[in-house]
Amino acid sequence: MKRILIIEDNPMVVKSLQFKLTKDGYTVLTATDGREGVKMLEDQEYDLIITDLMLPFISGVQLIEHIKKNRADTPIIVLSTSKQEDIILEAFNLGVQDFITKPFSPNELSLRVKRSLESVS
Amino acid sequence: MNNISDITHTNSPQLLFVGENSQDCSQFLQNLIEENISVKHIENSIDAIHYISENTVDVVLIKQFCSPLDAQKTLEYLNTEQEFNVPVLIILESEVNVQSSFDFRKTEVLSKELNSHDLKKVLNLLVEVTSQGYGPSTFSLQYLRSIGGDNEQFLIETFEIFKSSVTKQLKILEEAIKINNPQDISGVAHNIKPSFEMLMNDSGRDLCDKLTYELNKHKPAQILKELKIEYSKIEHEMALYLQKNPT
Repeated sequence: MKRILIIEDNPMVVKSLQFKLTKDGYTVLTATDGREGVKMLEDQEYDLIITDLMLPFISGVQLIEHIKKNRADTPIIVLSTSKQEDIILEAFNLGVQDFITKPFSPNELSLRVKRSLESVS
Repeated sequence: MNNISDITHTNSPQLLFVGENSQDCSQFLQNLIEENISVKHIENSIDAIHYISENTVDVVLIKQFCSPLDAQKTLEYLNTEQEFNVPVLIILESEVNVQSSFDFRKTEVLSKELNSHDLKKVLNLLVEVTSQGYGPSTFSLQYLRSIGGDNEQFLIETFEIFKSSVTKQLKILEEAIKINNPQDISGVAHNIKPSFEMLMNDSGRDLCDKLTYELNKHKPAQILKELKIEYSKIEHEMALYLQKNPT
């Protein structure tokens, strides 16, 4: 079963992502800030990372830099709002696979997750 | 107080406020009106008794020392002469333990300060006495249903998460506004926004956007006040939903 790490600080968004992705058949783990995310990445392997861009302690961009440095092959999907174009572009420049706008469309989430996982398999 | 006398919303619960000087609780009544509750204000308790005998009232909010009959005497009269069975909320104006004086009927007491707990008390009581909800809905379950389908447990858990997380974040936001920290204000508002969006509450979303992107164009304290009211409305409707859809 593919393992997905969600790093997001809004508990409602986390709950919804976790519910939908679990229903889709993935093992989902969650972190609520950048620091916890880094710790979980150091402790375990993940097939995909879904992360917010505005996180407490360590920003999403810093987190992406960390992941790309230490786990370059792990695909990343960023969660964003429609008003964060600049940060989304920066994230793409750092090598993220895709982005999803909050609140996410459940079908779109399923498709983008599937596509990102297939891109590395 | 005069400007909030007799505010009537169609199909909304009727609250009768009895008291001589309501200047000190005008904000509280204003909050009730914003919750789509119709408020009738009568200063004189004898006039209030006449009004109750001829009109439909869902809840009575009465000041302890209204005149010419105080709350206790007014309620005793209503109870014995009119077989009055409408719930009553008494605004305490004295520190003396008066709860026992009102034990003869279903009453609740509100603090003199009329804080947010008191507002919740009134709203909860109105939920009890009105069998149906009122006013336009402040949220839609359409989005959450698209994720959770008919899973009621998912909905209930999401409601709980909304209430606990937004309550916490509103407190943090209040502190950030108090110390005038624009970065924290916009950061917290940005964090809260999806919670309102997921309930398809456009007002909450727009208020969060104002705090996140247009802070210099608005008064943050006023926006926070509006956001808190929006939150209270949602919380109230969630309680109604759960009452109508027990698991």
